[in-house]
Amino acid sequence: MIYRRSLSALLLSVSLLSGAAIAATQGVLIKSETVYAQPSSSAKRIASLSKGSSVNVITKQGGWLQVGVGASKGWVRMLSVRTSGAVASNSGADFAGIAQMATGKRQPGKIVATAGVRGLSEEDLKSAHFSEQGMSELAGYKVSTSAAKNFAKQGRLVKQNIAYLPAPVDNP
Amino acid sequence: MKKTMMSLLLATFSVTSAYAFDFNDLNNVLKQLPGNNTNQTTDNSADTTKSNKIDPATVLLGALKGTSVDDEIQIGRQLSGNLLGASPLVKDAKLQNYVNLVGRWVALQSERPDLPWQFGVIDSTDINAFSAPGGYVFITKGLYNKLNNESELAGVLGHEIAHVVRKHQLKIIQQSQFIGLGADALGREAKGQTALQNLIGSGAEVMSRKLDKNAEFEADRMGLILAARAGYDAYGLPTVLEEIGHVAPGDGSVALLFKTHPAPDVRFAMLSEAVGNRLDYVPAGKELANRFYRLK
Repeated sequence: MIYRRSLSALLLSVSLLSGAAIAATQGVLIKSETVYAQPSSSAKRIASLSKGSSVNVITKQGGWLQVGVGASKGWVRMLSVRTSGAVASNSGADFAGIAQMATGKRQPGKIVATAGVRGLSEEDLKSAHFSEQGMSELAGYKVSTSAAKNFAKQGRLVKQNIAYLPAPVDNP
Repeated sequence: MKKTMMSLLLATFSVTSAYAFDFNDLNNVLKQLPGNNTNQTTDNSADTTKSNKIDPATVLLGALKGTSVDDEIQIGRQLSGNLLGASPLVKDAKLQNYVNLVGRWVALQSERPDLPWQFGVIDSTDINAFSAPGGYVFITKGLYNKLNNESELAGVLGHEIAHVVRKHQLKIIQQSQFIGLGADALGREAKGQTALQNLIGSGAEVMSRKLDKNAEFEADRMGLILAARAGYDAYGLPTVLEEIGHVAPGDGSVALLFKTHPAPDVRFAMLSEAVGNRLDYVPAGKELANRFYRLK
């Protein structure tokens, strides 16, 4: 039993590290979408997919996913494809299955405590006492604005001027 | 007496602020406060009852009326210290420094670049993130381990930064039903760090409170944009939501997160609606997977 749990944890971390969760996942369209030849809405339109369609997710590039439908491939908006809970198939389902094994039973709506794992419960939070040492450590890690700007420069991060998004009119 | 006072204040705070990976759009929370206290007050009904007899809550709230930035920081400091009492920082200076650099850069893109922003990774296997007034932001090791690149970290921190920027908890406190009980005079006396510490007392339960879902959706929209403004791939946050969505709902590591936030697939769908084609012509941002600091 203990062995099985460690194995599950191992498998879990392997899938996380490999990034396989996205790369080899089945996805479901949460809205009807156009499929483009390239990851851009100005690219050639090659097909359309209706809401609920299943696709194989091949790779991600920015806001776009390259997907395969049958024998053809194309790009759709990343935000139009849900990969979590795409129970239908392979990697995603396996992933959920592993997490489920690690926890014991899967009982939607019920909280199953995982033995031996140090979590952060409401009780922990309620009974917490102020940690002066913690706050002192935290303050020690604080960085200056100029350090942050320099860090951004090193990563070649370029500031963009983008407005906040309005709230959608209709809830999906 | 003192104890009662603290628990009362604690209860008051609970109603007001809770931040988790999903935050609160305070405006919406506020709209709910007068009539619709269901979740929040149920748990604290005993304390709430007491509040009719005792004044400390009003003292604190009076103190918070017209809260200055200094007051805001003091309140956040107290709550953060309590959180760290429950879950200490991960002992890894490089990690903490890295998260502070990313966080500070993202926060610089917000309307409140000059707050004394401080970021920390706390040593918990839970999957969650928290923030407190004044610029305190925390992410658990459990959530950090789910991330694959810097843009995802930027998105998560952006969500928390948005809660601070919108002053979600403070607004609730200031406009809550406790205000107006005539404690302004007392409030003035109650100002100051020591007084606030005494009033807020111990406990960080506020961190585990469920807030209005629209606050969370707003923080998601803002977090995504803050990361994009910082030059990151805008889609880090929704990618993390997908990752979290892969965790079985029964898994203990997401119990608190799922209790306090809308389901990840709903948050993802809301972002999908909000973004639409609006970012089509924004230059592609960076994911920076190579620079991402991975925990040993």
